Amino acid sequence: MYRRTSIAVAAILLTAIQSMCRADTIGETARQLSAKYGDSVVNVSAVTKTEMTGLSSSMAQKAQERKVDILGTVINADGMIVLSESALNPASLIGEITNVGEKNQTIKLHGTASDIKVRLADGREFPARQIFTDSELHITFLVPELKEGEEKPKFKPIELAKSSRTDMSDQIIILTRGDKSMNYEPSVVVDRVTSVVHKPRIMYIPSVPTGSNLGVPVFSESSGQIGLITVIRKNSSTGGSDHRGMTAQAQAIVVVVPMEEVMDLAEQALKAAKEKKADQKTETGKEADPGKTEKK
Amino acid sequence: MAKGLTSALMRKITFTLMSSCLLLCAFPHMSAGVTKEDAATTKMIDRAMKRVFPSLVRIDVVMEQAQSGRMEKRVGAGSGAIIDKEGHIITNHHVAGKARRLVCRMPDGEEIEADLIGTDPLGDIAVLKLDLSKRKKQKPLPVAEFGDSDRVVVGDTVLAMGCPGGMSQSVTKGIVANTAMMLPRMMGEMNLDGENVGSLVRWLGHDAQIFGGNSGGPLVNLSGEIIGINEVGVAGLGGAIPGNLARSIARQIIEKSSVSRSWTGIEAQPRLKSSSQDRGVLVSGIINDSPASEAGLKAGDVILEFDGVPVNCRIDAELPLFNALQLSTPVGKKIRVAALRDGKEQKFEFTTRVREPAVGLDQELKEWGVTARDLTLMSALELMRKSTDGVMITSVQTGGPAAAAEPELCQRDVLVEVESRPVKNLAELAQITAELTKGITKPRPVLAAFERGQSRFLTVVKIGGEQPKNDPVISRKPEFPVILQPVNPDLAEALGIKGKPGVRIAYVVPNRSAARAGFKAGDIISAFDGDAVRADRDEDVSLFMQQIKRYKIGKEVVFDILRETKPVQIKMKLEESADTAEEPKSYENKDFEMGVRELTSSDRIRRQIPDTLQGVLVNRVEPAGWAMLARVVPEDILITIDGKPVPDVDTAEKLLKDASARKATQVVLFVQRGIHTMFLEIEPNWNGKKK
Repeated sequence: MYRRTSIAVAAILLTAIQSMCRADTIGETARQLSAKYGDSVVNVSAVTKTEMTGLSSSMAQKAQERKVDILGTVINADGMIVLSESALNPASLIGEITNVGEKNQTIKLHGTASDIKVRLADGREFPARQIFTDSELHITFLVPELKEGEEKPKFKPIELAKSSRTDMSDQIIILTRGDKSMNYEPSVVVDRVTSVVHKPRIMYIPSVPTGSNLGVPVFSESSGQIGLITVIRKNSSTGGSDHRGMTAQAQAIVVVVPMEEVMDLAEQALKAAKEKKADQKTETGKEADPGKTEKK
Repeated sequence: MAKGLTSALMRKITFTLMSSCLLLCAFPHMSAGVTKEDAATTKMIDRAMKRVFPSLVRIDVVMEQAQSGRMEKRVGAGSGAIIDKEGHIITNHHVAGKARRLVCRMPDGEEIEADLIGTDPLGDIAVLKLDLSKRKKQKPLPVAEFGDSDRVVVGDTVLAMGCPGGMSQSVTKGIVANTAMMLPRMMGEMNLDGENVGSLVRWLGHDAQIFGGNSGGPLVNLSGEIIGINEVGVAGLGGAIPGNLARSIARQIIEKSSVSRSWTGIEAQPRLKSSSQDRGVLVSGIINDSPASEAGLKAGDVILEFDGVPVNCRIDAELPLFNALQLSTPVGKKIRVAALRDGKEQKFEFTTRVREPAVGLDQELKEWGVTARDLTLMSALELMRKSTDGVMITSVQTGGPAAAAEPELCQRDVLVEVESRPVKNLAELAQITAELTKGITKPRPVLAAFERGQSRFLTVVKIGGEQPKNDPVISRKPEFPVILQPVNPDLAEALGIKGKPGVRIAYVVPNRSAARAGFKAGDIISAFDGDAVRADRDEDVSLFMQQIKRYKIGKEVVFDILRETKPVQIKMKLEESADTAEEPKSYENKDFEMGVRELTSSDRIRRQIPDTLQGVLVNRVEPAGWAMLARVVPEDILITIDGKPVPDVDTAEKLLKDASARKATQVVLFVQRGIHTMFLEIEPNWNGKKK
């Protein structure tokens, strides 16, 4: 009896020690990742303007403007930043709401961001603009808007790499950063994958669906890149095909989008940035009509 | 308890300009079996109606209000009465005092535009003048006369005439309930643009039903004379500004566009209950550097005589009499005041000065992204400033130039210098801004000094030019232009394909990739690119569509389908979604405050718009802008402008620019909304003229 008890106690102690070692290990990995990539996670502020259209004139509302303080991740030496479109422009998550009121109105929410500013870890702040957006994954990209002749900041990018595999219940490390109240200090969150979504694409669901950590990178226990956190629309039962005139309601889910998907979008964003730059060069000297816009 | 009572009473105070609610007014008419007295009253009512009702107007107002760095427009309605043959109309300041556009509707339906001649927040009176040059009818205007409101007694029968709820002209009947109605202290003050209306006005309380929209309408006696101007509803009673006061304010406004009042710097209150005095008015305070302070008057003095007139104030209701005496003294008159100090009577002498408005008028400074106003003597003193130099910020546009500055400009900051040039007032700031921004296309950084409390801050604000647009490229995705439905087991069995899951095509968009590839409505897709398709529910269909979107544009994919239960294979090259491929051209006109874009093929499919219908889609309507006031709504299809067809955005742009160039006062749009068509009239007011 005594012997059995001793074995049990020893087993519990061993498990506890293993667990502590493991905790220490992941803690150490998180600190190392923060030291290596912490400065890649930057604070972004912007003013988002949300307009609602489709309401009758008596119900029309003025555009709502509000300031948002969010996070993004620097992904190249030129300062391209990836972040969650849903964080920058929450209206993008809703899109449109159908069958409203007696007249079955369709209300569309349209959001735009302006006055985008990026604050680097060293405190330097500069304006930026959106260059590319993916409305499926709700991921968007910014490029710095530096003045002519202005010295380029020293960006510390994460070089995006193919995702490490992770699975249900695996531990993950989220690199994040505090806001003004935390003096913009780097921060890490150790979390677990609760689920892996396979269709229409692989996505990981973190256990803590916090909306304050959108646009930041996620790593595995072994320091491999997993993906980027964003919020996407949930597949809803009213979400039909393109031409059904029905879209998802405001149901959203926090997900980790695999890094190869982000890399694919980053490639398109780079192309868009180059095209835009070329367009600007061609346009130089031309007086633009401010009232006229063409969707590019 | 007290708080609860206050809240309950406060809820009963209703300013009558409330267009959101409607109240049906009943006018009791004679019935069979009336008494002689009733018949006599009815006769008098009919006579009073004949004398005043024809001059009663409904006033439709487009007003402006400083908010979020902009002068935002909103619509309202009130009432008024024509008081002379020139077309002057008396109404409330809170109805028309901030009007950008005024249209008066006569009882016979005639609509005439009007100009705001002047407005007085302290008395809550405004005077408009009908623009008779545009009048189609040339018959003389009906004019209402004022009676003597000092002769009104409690119990007099009165008629409240106005347009409750913005409806057409209506009349209600009641009696005078109170000839000196005041808000009890626990209800607070009725404050309009910094002026405490109750410090001057003692309302005629009555029980003739009034409601939102009655504001500015006349309270009429049975002789058919105006004895009051309806203004408020308090605790179930209507409150009208006494006719004598209203008439004297209106006369001054008609003569010189403003009301001239004296300022002494004396602030008064009723005598304290503990006071042993049985007469006089207690001085509660003296404004620094005012005529009264220079004469040596002090808080605690009890004024016995003002300019030779004995004064007394025992209760709140008596205070407006003393205030009226001060205010009505001619500006620049030497005044003698007898007051008790420490039980001894003393004499004081001073000369009154012009009383300035409590606050300046708000104005929008687009280049700065703020609204601001000039400082008046009182508003400067409230900010503890010795000078009225500078411009006070009243609201800031989120994300606008002033908000983006570090440090940012905030409400109540006083802008005193721009690029080392002192700023005395709004006119100077507008002039400096115009000079600094002339011809620039990009925002220009300017050094601005502003004062916040006792501190003087410097900031750099990037003003003028076009703020850079943030217009990201949207990722391009392939489309499968069909409408699908899931084939659940029940449906599969009914279709004779039991055990064969898939998605059924309910509609194929004509002339697009799927139609060209040969898909037909009724086809059942069983596999896509080699993978079986299973869709029991709507969300499975959504998932299927999302999977297609993951493919590259241009890739050829294979669909296995069942067509009338026979297996068929269709190859299709994935094409870019029309949503991103079509890049519809757009145009926004800032004068009419609306934007349009080309109709895309997706629009035509989604809305089932036939190809024969030519037009452009309204994609933007500025809230409270001119287009919105004309009831244009986003998603309207604009078919013609002033009768000219609008087949594309270029034409819309040209026609709207032409209308802007000629400053058209009316632009008629013909639009389609769903299955309905309608004509809408945009009626902008150019040059910010108060009309």
